Amino acid sequence: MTEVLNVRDNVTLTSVNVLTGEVKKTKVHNLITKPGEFFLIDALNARANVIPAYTGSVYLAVGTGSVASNYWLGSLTTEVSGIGNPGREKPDSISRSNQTVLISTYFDTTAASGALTEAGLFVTGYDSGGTLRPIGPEVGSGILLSYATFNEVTKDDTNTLTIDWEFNF
Amino acid sequence: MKEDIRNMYDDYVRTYINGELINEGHNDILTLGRNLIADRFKGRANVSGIDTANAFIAVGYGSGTTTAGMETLQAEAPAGSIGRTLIGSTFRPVTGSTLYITAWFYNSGGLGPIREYGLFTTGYDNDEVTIKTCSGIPDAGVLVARSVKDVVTHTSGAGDSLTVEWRITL
Repeated sequence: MTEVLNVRDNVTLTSVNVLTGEVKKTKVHNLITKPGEFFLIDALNARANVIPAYTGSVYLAVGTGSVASNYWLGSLTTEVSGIGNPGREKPDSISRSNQTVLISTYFDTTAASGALTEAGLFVTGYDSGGTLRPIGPEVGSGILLSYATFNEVTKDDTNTLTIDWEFNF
Repeated sequence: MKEDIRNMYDDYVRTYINGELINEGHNDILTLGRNLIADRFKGRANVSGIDTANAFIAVGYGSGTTTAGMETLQAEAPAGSIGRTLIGSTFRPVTGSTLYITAWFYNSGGLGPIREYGLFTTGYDNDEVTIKTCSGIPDAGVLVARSVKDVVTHTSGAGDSLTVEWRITL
């Protein structure tokens, strides 16, 4: 048998036009950041203060920026935010089937509007300097566990958006 | 850069007797171990971590090839030989994604012609319902990873110690 274990993740964005019912899907791969790796090891180790990926302890954020992915990325380039247009939400469900964990997050018509090109999962964990960064609804809070970029997905108040984030261990 | 990033666990096991490195080998993460890692990620109830309160390292005499579905060592050393012990320490460097795990068998522990090593903790069985509780009893718990190496003969003696160092790198 193989001696190594891979961790892969895939992201599927599903946009639904509530007026016409039109459905658009975008599927991309992404990367697990170095602090994301630290989080996974710390979760395995049951390290104090590191909160596993419960629905209440994870935020999925979307943004409109564009940057070359790198392992040490700590935040989205331009996270969507603002009164009446939150750009991050807690997931609606987190489930596991065999070695795959699926994190599903739903943005209704009143959230995450913009010309979206990036998304990230944020959790409470230790950053590259060993500092604990608690997660919250505030822009940039927590550590960036995983990051994805994609061709522009236009989201406005006529669309809902569901983002399914898979981790395959 | 590549968009599909694969992070590989570079796992290995080292064996020391009285502080001297005897051998080193890779190991395999098993199916139930992968399930457990995923469960730890999502914080599933009743699933313990690889930590000093819950996880054990066991030694045994089996030399067969590891298969993904293995749930116990082939021939874990019996309780009378103290074939398993709680992990003594774990450590992850600030900027590293390696978990360093160490267990010590003192004096009359971990005796015999040792060929296989197992990392155990508490988690779910294949049916996803039954909890396999880890303890000092042989074969108890979920076998997360196994390693088979050249034989190491550990004999009893005052001050004698067998140290197992396990590394899991993401």
